[in-house]
Amino acid sequence: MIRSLVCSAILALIVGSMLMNSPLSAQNRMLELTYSGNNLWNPGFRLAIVQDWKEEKTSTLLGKERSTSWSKMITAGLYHDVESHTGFYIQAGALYRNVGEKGWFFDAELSPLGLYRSFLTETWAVDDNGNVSQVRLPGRTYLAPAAALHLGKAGKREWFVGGRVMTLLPYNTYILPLLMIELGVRSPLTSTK
Amino acid sequence: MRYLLTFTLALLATSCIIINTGRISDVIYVRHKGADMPAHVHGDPAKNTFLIVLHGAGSFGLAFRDGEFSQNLEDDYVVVYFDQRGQSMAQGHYSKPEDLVDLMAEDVLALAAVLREKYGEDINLFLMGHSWGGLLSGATLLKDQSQFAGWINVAGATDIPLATARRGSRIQIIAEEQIDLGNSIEEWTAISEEVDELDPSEESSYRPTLRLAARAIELLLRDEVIESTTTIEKLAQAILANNPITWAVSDFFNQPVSEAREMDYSLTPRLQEITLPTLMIFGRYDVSVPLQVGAVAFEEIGSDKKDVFVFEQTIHHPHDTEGSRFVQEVRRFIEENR
Repeated sequence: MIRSLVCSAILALIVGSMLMNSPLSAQNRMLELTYSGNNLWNPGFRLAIVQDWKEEKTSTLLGKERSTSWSKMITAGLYHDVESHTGFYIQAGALYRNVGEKGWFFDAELSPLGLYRSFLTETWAVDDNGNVSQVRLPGRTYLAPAAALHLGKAGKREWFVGGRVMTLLPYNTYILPLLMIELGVRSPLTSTK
Repeated sequence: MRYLLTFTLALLATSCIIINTGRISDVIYVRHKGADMPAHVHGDPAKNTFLIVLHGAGSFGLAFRDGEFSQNLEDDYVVVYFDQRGQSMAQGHYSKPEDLVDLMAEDVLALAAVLREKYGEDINLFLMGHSWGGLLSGATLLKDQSQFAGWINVAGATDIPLATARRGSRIQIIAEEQIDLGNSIEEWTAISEEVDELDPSEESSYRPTLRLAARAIELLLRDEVIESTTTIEKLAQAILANNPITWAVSDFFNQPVSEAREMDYSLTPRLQEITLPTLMIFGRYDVSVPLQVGAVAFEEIGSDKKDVFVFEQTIHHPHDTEGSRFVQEVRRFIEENR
């Protein structure tokens, strides 16, 4: 438990400092709030900070102008599986956006850095000698890279829908994919000045 | 954004509502040798009697929590629906063990120890296993039967080589019977001929025999020889109470029956060592665990107090197809032995 919390904190510090040291200004940061339900019926949400990374490029496709951009982002989220556990995760990665003339866009996120922690209900451990004891703050920590695809409408405040796949590893003897259904909004993070 | 936040919080709040009815309704995890395995504990503790249910291959604990289990057995006893290592919602990190069956049997004993720690040393524990769970429950008893007051073996695959060897001949017997009754004659004749071509002693015939068994089950249901038992409640348990993706992926990666097959796992040579009161229930039309497996288990078990019932309108799930009778026999058995 302590080891996983330390790992999560280190990851958050690394990615956070990457974002804070960006030469781009705070006006280029967006706050993202997303309903992110595991399989739709296990409710959850996630919060992300999206920071411009590479300057926007504009191109013309079939006579229509589209702009593409890359951002880096850090995400923290959780969901609650009513019958068994709550999952908390923190992830960092890059976001590619492709926006059309009328503001409709699609984006693709790849977050290779990720940690997931399950929080289990009451848990009892049985050791090799058959001794039984209750586990404090029970759960398991897994590596949790993720990928997501969204469709949405850009604007001062933008919205999107899409899906996210997170892979927990090692899970039991192999891996476990988690499917998230997402509905979210992004708003600019304004400067405090 | 405000509406989205309100909506999200409302969803989270409704999912956390717990209605206290005075009965036990717990989800506890058992941590043992790298695995965290959920046990859904539901029912009335007044009789101080707990029934542990071990699911079959590719299934999950809560698959049993519909119909007669939730509506009847939980009124009299506390039923413990257990997700086994590597199955359904069980999680953790561990390497593939050398003897998976042995480790999973130890898991069940760990569950029994946790139940005694949490609910009292004096609780009466009964162990029920269905299909693969029948083998696992028997293997558990061979490690330590002193923890339990009785064994309920439901269509238990206690002898994997025997079940494999006799599956084809059981399909043949059912095919002949159905042809005599005039049911789907062409299809049953085709199945019978295909079974004839398979040699049960050869590994290559294993999958084709299972496919023929699936076709046989389809015909029995289509001709209404056996009533279909898929209910809304069961679907809800599979999709909503359980996580179907987690369940399916875990089942894909962790298949204890395959391990048991590789080991030619059979409890038959040691069943004499089990002396607990035992109830066995098998289905007449079972083409997964043929009746012969039950007959041998009943003959070999060392219990003085043993009963076996063959349910006439059942394929492999007597608790679903003949639920009322199933509960009646289980309740009688528990009351006589608790």
